[in-house]
Amino acid sequence: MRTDAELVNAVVDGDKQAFAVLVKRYERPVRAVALNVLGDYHSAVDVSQEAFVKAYEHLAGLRKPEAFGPWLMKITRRCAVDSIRRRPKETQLEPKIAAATESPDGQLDEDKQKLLAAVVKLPKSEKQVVILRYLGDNSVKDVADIVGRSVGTVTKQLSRAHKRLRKILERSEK
Amino acid sequence: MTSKDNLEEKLHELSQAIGSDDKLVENVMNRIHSAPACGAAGAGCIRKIIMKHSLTKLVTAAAIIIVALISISYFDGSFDGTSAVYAAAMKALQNVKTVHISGWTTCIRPHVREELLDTSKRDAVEIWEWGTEDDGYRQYYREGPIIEWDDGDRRYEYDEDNDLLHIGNSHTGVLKYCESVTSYLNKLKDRNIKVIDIGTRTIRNRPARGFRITKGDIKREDIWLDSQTNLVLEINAHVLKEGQWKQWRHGEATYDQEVPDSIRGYVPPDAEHVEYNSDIDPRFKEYHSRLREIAAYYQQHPLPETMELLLREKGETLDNSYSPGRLSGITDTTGYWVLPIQSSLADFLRRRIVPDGSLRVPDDLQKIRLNHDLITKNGHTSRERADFVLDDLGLEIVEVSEQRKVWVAHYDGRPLKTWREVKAPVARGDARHTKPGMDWISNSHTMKHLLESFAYYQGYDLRADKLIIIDETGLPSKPAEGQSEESIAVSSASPYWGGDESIEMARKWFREQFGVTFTEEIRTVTVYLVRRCNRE
Repeated sequence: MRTDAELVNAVVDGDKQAFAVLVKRYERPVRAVALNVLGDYHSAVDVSQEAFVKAYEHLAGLRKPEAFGPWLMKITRRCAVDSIRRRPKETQLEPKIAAATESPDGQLDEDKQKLLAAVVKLPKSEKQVVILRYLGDNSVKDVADIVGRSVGTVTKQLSRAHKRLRKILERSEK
Repeated sequence: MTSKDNLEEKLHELSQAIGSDDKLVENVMNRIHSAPACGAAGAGCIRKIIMKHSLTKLVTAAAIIIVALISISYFDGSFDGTSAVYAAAMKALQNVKTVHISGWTTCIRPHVREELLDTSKRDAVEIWEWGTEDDGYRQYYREGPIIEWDDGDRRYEYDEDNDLLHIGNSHTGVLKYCESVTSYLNKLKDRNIKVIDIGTRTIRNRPARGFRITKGDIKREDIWLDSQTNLVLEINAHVLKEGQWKQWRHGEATYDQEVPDSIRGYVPPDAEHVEYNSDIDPRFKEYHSRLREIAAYYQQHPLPETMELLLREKGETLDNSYSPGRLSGITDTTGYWVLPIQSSLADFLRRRIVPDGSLRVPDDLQKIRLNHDLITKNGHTSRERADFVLDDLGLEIVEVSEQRKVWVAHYDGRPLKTWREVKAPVARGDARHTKPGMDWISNSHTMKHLLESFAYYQGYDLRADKLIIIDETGLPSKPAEGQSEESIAVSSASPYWGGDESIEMARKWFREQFGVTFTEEIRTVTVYLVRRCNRE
């Protein structure tokens, strides 16, 4: 598996197809971040696309190719919040209300909304590995390869993230 | 939700609920290919340019050797011994039919990272490279659980651990001859890399001479060449870890062995997970079919002089229209390729017409849906493509001179802060909505970009009735030759300046951060108006 940094370097060197691998890799994580902000699935799909294109356009300026994941998430979030801003006023939904709208399988139920919100609240490094591991459906080893950390480090970060997620969720249930 | 399993299960359920979108990749790639200027793509891959065909590859390999030999003759005074070693080793490879490397590695990645090196665990390495009777080239490459196999038609990468098979196009057209060896040899002639002679030893009953290649402070490679044949016999790579040099790779090279049938006839397994390169992915067969259709059309019809816009007559939206848009038998020889256009006219035009804020597209035209394929080639500007598409749609851009209020940007000449010190005026924090003044993308931005961005957000609705900025700051808009964009950057943030409420905040920010102020003046400016053609 090629690392993010390798793929980023390949794209910058002119191999556009390498970017397709990054899109595939971060499709769900990006949509998750967009969905968390927007609530609306269809808007999240549009914003995901926007985020990837923006990332591509600015890729040459990414000073740390290995930080592609967090950088992309940041872009996605901004694309999402900007998308809300650009909506006509009458369709601007408060995220909490909008979050009840449909997902591809129907409703994104309240538990999933809470869980997604909790994931987004995790510290950056933990959020990255959780998103890649669960939302990106990567093995722990693949996550380690992608982020350029050891398997042991990723395992520890996941473990810490689990604890933190439980705390966040418990707090939100009170 | 307290147990780990339960949490994991719920995270997986969440992932399923988020779902995936088959169209995303192709849509993104479409847009990337239609982007007017790609910030990412640079000079392109030189290897791809010079190594298109195996014959070219061999000729090029020979040419490299000749150039190297000539260079040695002519490098008066700058000649050094390792260049001669390189030339001799490359010459020796000319007569080689197969290369076999066996050994081990502790890191199956091309870039060694200290934290990933567990030198106690070794994965086997086995590489075979050989030319075929039909002038083809084959490569089998195994490192631990990863097998890469190029059969001349497809390149397979199989990840045994994850039972994942990736199928792509053959790389044999771009592979360097005997790459497994030449990739090391090339370092012998790189004047930026330190090479020292480390003496002689016997390897497999052959006299060998060693050279230590050191790049940076933590990596070194020892390459051992047969003193009589000049062929590489052994390669050992080390990394400095905890103050000690630790070996992470060992390879022994042999030549002209019979390639085992198990390698020559290797068939990738039926993996549980199979991924494809976009241009051969069966999921995108409709778009590939469309490309074949277009290619067939141009076998019967002349290619356009400049461009041609083809309507998808069947009305299909080609959900799987995954650009690169290469036309078989045409793109390689003529340079023509396909730019799929599936968007509203507004989206197609936005940022193709500059300066920002000066494009006016009536609402009814903004909504026109495009479902076309533009046959084009490199060298046309995005504006030229826009003009062509508009013309085909019976539309045109007319330049209208208007006397109107503009903002003229002036700079008071104060010393600028370093660009990294300049931040957006409004911290983002946990804000869900982007507010005026919040950073959009942290990066290095020039004054030109900041001013354009301001006008862009103000003119996003393509009515050209808001802000037009004339930059008279005198601050550089292009880096000097050989300098990077960062050399003229003035800010690490490009804030969002949408809506009327942004304007005063923007003025204040530009003034305080850069000493850039705006005067409002009435000037004659050009507005680019999109309208229906009057062709009567």
